[in-house]
Amino acid sequence: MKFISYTYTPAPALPDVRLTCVITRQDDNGQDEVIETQYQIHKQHRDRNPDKSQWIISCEDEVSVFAKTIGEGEIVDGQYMWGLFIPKVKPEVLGITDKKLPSKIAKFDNGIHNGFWHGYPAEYLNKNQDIPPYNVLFQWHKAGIITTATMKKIKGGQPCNL
Amino acid sequence: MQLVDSTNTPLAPLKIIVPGSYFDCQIYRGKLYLWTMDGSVRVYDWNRLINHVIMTKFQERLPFVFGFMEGNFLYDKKVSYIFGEEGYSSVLMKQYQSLYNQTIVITSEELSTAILQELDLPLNELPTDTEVYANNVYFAVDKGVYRRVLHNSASDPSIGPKDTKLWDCRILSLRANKYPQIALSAGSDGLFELNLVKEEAIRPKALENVEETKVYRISGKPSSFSNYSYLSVFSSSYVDESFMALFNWKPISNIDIAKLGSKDLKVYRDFDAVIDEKQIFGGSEESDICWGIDDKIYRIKDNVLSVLKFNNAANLERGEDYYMPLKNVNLPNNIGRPISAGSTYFGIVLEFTNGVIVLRSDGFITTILDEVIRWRVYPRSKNYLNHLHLIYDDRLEVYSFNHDCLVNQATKRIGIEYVPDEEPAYKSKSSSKASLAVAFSSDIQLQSGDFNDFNLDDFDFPF
Repeated sequence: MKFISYTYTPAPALPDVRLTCVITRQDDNGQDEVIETQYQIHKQHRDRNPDKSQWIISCEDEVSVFAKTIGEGEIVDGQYMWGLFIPKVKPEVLGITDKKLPSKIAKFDNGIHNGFWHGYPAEYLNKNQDIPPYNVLFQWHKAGIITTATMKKIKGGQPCNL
Repeated sequence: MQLVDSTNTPLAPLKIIVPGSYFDCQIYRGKLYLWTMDGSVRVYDWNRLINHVIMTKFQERLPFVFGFMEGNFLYDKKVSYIFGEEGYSSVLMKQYQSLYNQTIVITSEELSTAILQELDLPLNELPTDTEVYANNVYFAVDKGVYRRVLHNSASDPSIGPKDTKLWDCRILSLRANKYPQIALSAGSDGLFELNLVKEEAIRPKALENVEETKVYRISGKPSSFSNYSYLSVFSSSYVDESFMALFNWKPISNIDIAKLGSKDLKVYRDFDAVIDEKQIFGGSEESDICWGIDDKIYRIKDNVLSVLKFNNAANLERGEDYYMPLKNVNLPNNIGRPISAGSTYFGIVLEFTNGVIVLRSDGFITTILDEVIRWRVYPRSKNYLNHLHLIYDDRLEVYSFNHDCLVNQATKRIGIEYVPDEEPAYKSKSSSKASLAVAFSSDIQLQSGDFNDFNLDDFDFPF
C-alpha cells in the first residue's frame, strides 16, 4: 500500500472534536482506494495528564500521522495500528510517555466500542501492548525506515537508536 | 568496524568473521545456528569450520582449539602447566598476539562446505529471543514461547519440524538454568518461569502456575531481561526497579517423598521472596542499569560500577548474608548509559547505541565500535564460555576472550567466578572455596582481578 493524500473536516483539528478523514492510497496493482474514517484527538493525551502519554506535535501533525498510517499500514488484531512521524527523513519525537521518556511511535486504536479512531504516543519500553507487532516492524524495516538493530530492540522492548 | 584495546594484553582476544545477514545466533555442541534475514535457520558444523577451514590456514593450532572449540580447557589445571613453563608460555602468548593482529574470515564458500541443515524460519517470524537448552531450542515470538527439538542423537544434527507452543504470552527475554527452568521476562506483565521439572512433587509450592501450563508467575514487577543467580533469578528492568527473586532448597515432605518413589531426593527448589534492588544495594537512588548472574550482581550509576557477591546458600542464622558488597570499580569518564548489559566469566559486556564495550576481568577494556543488532555470551556452556558473538548488518563476529584463566577467580570482581564442574556451585561458589580448588601451578603469577580502575592509557572513550 502506498499513501497518496488525505483531507479532513472540520478544520482546524481540535481536541475532542470528531474528524472525518478521507484518505487515498494505492494498492500493489496501482489502483487507488479511498477510505473514509473518523478520528478524534483525545484531550487526555494533550492536557499534561501525568498518567497518560502526551503528544508534543501539533493536532494537525497528529492527524497526518494517523492518515499516513491508515494509508500505508494494516490493522492489527482488528483494532490497532502503529505509525511514525517522519516530517523529513527520519522518525522524530512525537510525544512523551508517562515515564517522561520521548516517544517516536504512535499507536492508534479504532475504538471497537465507539466506532472512531484515536491515538497516543506509544510506550513500548513500559507497556508490552505498545510494542508494535513483528509485521509492522518488518514493514518499517523493509521500507528502510528502521535498521535491523532497531527492529530487534523495539521487538525486545529495549532502548534503541530510533 | 574498529576494535580498540586500551593496551597490549597477555592473552589477546581473537576474532572470526562470518559474513552474512543474521538476526540471531546460538552455538551448542559443535553446531552454529544462524537465524538469517532472508527467512531461514541454518545449522553449521562449527568444529569442521575451525578444524578444516580455519586451522588449515595458520600454523598456530592451540589458540583456535582453546579459543573457539574448547573454552574451558584454559581453566584446566593440567593445561595451566603450559603457562607455568616459560618456554611453552611465551610461544603460546606470541601465537595469540600474532593472531590478534589478523583478520580471520570464513568466506561464504567455506561456510557452505559446513552446512548441515537449512529450514524455513519457524512461524515465519524472526525471534525476539532464543535459548538452547537440553537439546531443545526455545524461542519467543509475538504470539508466545515455543520449542523445537534439536538433534535426537549425536549423528543427527537436525532441528525438528514441529513447533510446540508452551505459552501464549509475549516474552522479551528467556534464559535457562540447569535445574531445569527457563526464566521468562514478560516486560510489563512481569517475571515468569517455565519449570521443566517432570515430577509435580518437586515443583514450586510458593508460586502459582498460569492456567494449565508449566509456567509460574514469580512477580508482577516489570522485567525487561533476567538471568539465573544459582537457584535464584535476577530480573532487570529498563523502566522500573530491578529485583532478585530469591529461591532456596526446601525439604521435601514425607508425602511428596512417597510420591517420588525410588528417587532419592530430599530437597526441592522453591521461591522465597522478591528482594528489590534498593534493598540489595541500600540507598534510594535509581541505577542506570542493574543486572546479575551467578555470584555477582552489578549496578551502574553514573561512572561507578557497584559489585555485590551473592551467596544463595547463606546461613542467615549464623549471621551470613545473601549479599556481600565488594569494592566499587570506577568506569571511564563519560561512559554514558548502556542500553543493555550482561556478564560472563571473562568480564562484563555493555552495549551502547553505537557499539559494545567489554570490561574484562583482567582490568583491560575492549571497545568494539559499530551498532550491533544482537550480542550473545554463553556462560552456561562448557566449550563456549569464552565466546562473545556480535551480529551486525553484514556479518557475525565470533570473539574469543582468553585472559580469564590467568585471573585469580577468588578475588576477581569483574565477571563470574569460574568453578570446576565437579564442585556443587550453588553451595560453595560464593564463599570462593571452590575457586581455591582451581589449583594453578604455583609457578603462575595470577592477576588479582581486584582492581579499582580499568586500564586506560589516555584512552579517548568513543561513546
